[in-house]
Amino acid sequence: MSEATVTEKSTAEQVTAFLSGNEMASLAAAQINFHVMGYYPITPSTEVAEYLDEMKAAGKHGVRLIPGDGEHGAAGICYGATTAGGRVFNATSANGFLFSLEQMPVQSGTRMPMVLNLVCRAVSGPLDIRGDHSDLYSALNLGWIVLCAKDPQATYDFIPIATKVGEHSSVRLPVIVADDGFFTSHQKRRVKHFSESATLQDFVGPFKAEYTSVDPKNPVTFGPYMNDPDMINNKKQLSLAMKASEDVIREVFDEWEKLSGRKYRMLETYRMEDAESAVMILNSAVGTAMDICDRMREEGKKVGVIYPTVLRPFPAEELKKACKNLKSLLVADRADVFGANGGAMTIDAKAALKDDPDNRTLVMSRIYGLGGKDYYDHDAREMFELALEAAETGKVSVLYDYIGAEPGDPEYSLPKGNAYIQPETSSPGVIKVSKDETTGKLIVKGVKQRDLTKMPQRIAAGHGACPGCGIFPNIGTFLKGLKGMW
Amino acid sequence: MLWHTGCGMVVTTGYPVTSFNVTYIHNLFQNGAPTLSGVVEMFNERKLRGEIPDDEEITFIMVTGDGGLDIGLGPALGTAFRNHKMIILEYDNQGYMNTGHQLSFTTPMGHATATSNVGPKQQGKTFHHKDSAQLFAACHVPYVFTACDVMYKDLITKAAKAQYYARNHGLVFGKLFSVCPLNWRHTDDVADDLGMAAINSNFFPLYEVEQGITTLNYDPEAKGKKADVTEWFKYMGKTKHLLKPENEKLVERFRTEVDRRFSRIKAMSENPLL
Repeated sequence: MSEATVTEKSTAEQVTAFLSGNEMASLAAAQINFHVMGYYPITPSTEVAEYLDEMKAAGKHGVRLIPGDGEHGAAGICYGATTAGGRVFNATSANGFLFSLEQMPVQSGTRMPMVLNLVCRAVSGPLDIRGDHSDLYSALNLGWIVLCAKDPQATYDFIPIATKVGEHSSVRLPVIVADDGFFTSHQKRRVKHFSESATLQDFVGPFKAEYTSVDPKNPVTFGPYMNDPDMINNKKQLSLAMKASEDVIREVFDEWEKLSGRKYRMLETYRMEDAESAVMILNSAVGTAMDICDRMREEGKKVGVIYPTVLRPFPAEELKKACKNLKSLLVADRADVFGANGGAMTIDAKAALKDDPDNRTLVMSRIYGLGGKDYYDHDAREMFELALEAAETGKVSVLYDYIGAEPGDPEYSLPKGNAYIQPETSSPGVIKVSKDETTGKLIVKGVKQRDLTKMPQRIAAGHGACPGCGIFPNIGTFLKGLKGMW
Repeated sequence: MLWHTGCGMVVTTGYPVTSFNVTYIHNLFQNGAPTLSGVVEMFNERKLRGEIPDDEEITFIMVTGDGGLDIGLGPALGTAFRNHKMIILEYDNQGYMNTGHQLSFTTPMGHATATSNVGPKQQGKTFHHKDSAQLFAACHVPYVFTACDVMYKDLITKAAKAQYYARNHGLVFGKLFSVCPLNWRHTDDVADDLGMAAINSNFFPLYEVEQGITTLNYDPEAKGKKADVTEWFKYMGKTKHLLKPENEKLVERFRTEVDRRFSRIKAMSENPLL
């Protein structure tokens, strides 16, 4: 295995641009010209549908955009559309993904390929809109292939790759293309894309469905009621398809290299040839890890970086090979699997290495960057040093911990809020409600502008609403009609 | 045809056989309506791209129980707002029959289910039934109807209209009063009488809302058939307790609400602006 390489033997015309992950995702989807996108907006994936709609308004593609009532409904639209024999695309994040979670195994269990751009974001709560992998780690047991795009270029490249892999006759599985919210989705990078849509359309080829739900002359059943003893066979077939996808992914990566000049592998390694210690890390944090790896190499430290491009199926064989002579490995997880003493990638890595009886690599887990916390060079350095220390001492001192979490200032306490609204303030006797017993209707008296100034303000100043915002005048005026504590 | 999860679904497609002579799709019971809308729009898009012949015509029907329309109400309303050319049919048997008869929002007040039991401190369900037909009428879709197989000519007429509207205009919603001998606890030979009693008691008005105009198709009073709700209750085990004198107050509350709702439909039928 060698470093990730970019070879320049492309045939079709490409242009260099400066674009974000979301721009690249929507561009790829537009160029492929998926038939349908069922979607629901959620930060940070929202822009994908927005850009597609802008391009649609400009007449640049024919993707039919259908707004769901939520991500769950959107996933239903996508599922129905896939049964009707066409290409389907979607993009979501975080709780939106979790809202649609129960639909994900329906898509894979009935073997309906589609492509979902998971723009990874922290799963709330508390509410956090920034990037981590807590949504991605909920995507690992759903029967979907998971490709991890570390930069906008990979996002663009993986959407046609995902389309082709998922639709392959020996696979027939839906595919997630996961890139990092904000870090990848919103930060522009120097990228290349094909100038003609036909290039991607030729690459993916025409969509072929064996059966469709819109062919009345060939009635079929999608999703029968299937208990034991059949369900286990359905899952075994899914498992075989996942296994078969390994070779298909490699083949499609090769085809993509021939077309684009950009090479991808199931698992990428960086400066691993003679490395004694390594950090295994995912997506947008890879770049920082490689930078620090370079600096530590200059200091004479034998370190390397491992990052998977494919998380499902997990590239166990590639990892075993990469760790053959490795003394220590720190697996960095951007989401925890609470109570399991390591994130999902740690658990997968440990399981893979355990299957190699000759492997002696010491493995430890560190959780980092949750809720979008930046991954700084000192975080990366700390990881490499922990791995080096284990290699030197021959043991791992702390198997599992967080990097970048802090206890805060124990001396700090929140300033006291306003005193609660006293009963006499909240009920100054301005408004009186009585019932007319003959009509049964309510009679309200005392709604006079001047008197109403006596009613308490229940929303304090200092909120961040835009100038002229209509929300607070409405809610505030409504609250003037209420007496009592609330 | 798409059925989402429910008692009607589990008895029809036990793998590897099926009771359907037409194409059938299942999706989980929160999501049948959006799923079928995805089928409809993929069909339209593929027609537009020339992948399906222009003259191919398919009537798209999604079938839900009243339970599927509780947990799946939001997605179904969202689908109605988008006004896809398809039919949503609710077979309303007033409970979650697939899981053994728990209350649904369409279970009428006072009726006994496994989660609205009868005992010294409780007399069945404590709140009124959901009016799903009016909910869909409020979505301003081209055609909404209620029907029951006991009035089969009315039902078939509405089916023909439903197909016309779903092909030419947009979304159709139909609510079907559907007996359940197992859980309503009645013998299976009284379905017609029971259904007529529910209709004649004003509980289940037969009407349609066509392009916003309401028509009451059957007025029990005008036909001289008006019955009290207790005439309907007497057929079923789940309402036996409501016939006891100590529950008369509860029945009166139910009767008042039933008559109020019926009168509104009648007024709408008499005034096209309503």
